Amino acid sequence: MMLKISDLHVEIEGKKILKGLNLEIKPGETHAIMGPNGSGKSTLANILAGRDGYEVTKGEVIFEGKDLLDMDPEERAREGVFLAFQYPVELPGVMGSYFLRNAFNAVREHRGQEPMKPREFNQLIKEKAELLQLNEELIKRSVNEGFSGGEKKRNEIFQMAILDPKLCVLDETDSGLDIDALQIVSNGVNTLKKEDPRKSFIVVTHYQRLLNYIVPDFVHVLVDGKIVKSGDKDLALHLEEQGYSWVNDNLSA
Amino acid sequence: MNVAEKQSELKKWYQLNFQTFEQSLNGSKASPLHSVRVKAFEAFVKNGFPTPRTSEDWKYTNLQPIVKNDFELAAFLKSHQVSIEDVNKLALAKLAGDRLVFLDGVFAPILSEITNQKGLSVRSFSDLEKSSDKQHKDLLSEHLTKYVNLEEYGVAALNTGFVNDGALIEIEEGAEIEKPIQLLFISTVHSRPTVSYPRVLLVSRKDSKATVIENYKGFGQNTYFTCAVTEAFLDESADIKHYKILEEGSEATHYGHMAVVQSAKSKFSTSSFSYSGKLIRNEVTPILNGEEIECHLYGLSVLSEEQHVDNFTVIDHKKPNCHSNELYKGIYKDKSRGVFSGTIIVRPDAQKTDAIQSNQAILLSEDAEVDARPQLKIWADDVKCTHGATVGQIDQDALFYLRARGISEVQAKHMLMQAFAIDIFQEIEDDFLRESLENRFLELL
Repeated sequence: MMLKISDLHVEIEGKKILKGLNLEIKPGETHAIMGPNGSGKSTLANILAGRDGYEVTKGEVIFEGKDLLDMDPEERAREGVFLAFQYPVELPGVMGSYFLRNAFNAVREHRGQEPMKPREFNQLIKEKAELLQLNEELIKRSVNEGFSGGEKKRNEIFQMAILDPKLCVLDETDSGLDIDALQIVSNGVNTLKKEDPRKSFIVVTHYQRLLNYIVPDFVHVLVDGKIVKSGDKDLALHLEEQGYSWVNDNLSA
Repeated sequence: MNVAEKQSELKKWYQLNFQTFEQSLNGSKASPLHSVRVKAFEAFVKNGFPTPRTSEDWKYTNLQPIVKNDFELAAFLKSHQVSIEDVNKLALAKLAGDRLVFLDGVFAPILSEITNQKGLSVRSFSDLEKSSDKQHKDLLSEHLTKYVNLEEYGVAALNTGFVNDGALIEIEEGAEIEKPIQLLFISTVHSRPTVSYPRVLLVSRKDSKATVIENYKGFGQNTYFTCAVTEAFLDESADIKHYKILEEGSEATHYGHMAVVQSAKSKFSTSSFSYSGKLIRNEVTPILNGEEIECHLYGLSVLSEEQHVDNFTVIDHKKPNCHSNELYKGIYKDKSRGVFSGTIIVRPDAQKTDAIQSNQAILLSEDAEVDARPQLKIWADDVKCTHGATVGQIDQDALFYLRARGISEVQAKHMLMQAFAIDIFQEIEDDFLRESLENRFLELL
């Protein structure tokens, strides 16, 4: 088991958001988390990455046998958890190449690897930038500053490709993307999956559209802080046709 | 003792010092500096030390540490030995070019290096006095105190009252001085509180170009007061880059006044780096006395404990079509405090003035404090003046983003603070100077 979430209860400023969430992910699996606005999807993504402001009142999250909730955000990243942000942060004055090198070497050091030689690292950047069709000049500039919405999202997946995590959490990566950018992002993700079949993915999305490109093994429907229904990729199609009310109706039925 | 009595006691103390000082300068009463001193000291006595009560310009900075100490003139006391190795450590040693070293305000020829770059004259006042160089003697007496307003700036008048040694820099017409001119002012260690009065006069002729670095260093934890004045005159189309590095001792008070007069089409920029010292006041007062002038003022402070830095600027736009730009940034830890007072004056004749002022601070502690006092005095109607001040903490979203990529919290904070200061460092053309200042900055975080 790569990730095991058991009976997770989370509050923000006293407001209950997750109310007993269970999820198990094995290496190589892709899980889609779908749900209406306010159901707790992004909370789940953020709690996995270690963002401040959430209080876990009950339950646990075990990543590769270790207590994930006990780790600082940087430790989680080094252990191999990667969050592709819904709203990537602009970092004026933090140069992309400098940022990437620091992040990359922090992860490598944690894995007991030597820092990569600059030439090799530049080659890696070049290769992954091509995969995400990102202009290399853009990567050298201040991180995300002045990037278009699509460029920011591609930059997230680009960073994911560089840092080579075990568990990739994609938080609404499709939001604000046009169809071309969506294809580039999905193509990037699928290439990474092919390169490393043991990588696992949690794809958090409101719409089914992304799942045409990144095909999930499992689809979970999150409503009011709990997974109320799980199935295969066809479940996403049902949802698209029927809307989230269909799940609610089914539940009460 | 009330404040007024204390003030008058204080004046007495400096008066006594002044008399002793004047008497000590055997025979030099005939020197043109003598009349300059007497006149300036009278101006100081008339106004005394400014206090928050007597001067709006000193609202947030109190010179109490100076008022309560009987500082002795460091030049009178036997100077602590400073070796060339010490100097190399304190100076930006790898910067080739002229280097004048002053110990407690007194020129130290053996520690200095004059390279005779073409088109450049660098002399110490003391050296000049002994020489038969009439041309530069005349230059000194003609220009010294011509640019600084001693009635307005009382502490600058105090410096002038004790002026004896200093650096005279002349850049000849059309000369481009390639290597920076470095002035290193070292305060040595004394067992009693001491004061020194460094002085710089820079005269840059038409179409000349040069970089000047003033580097103030303290050795230890002794109490001292550096009272420095720099005057700079830029003739038409002169281009001067000036840097001031402040790494004074932990118990030091530094007062620095920079008076600048610019002629048409000249370009002036100064960047101050307030890295250490207990109380620092940086005054910069450029007068833009011609058309199409560019004037840039930059400042960066990184302070901790109870350090206090006051950046005080007055930019006086006298003629049309000039551009001035001010950017002051500070990072404040512990109980440190930053003050920024920026006045922009636009005279009736100064149409099409373009003046930008910005003051930005990051507070890293709840006990740190920042005060900003922007003032626009505009008498022309077709001008563009903007000013802005921001005070904030480290951006938590940015911090999380970096940490979520595996970067430690400490390093992430450093990266964000480095990013905050990047536009100040980007202005430094010399790679070695930029890297030295940036590395020092990172050490202080």
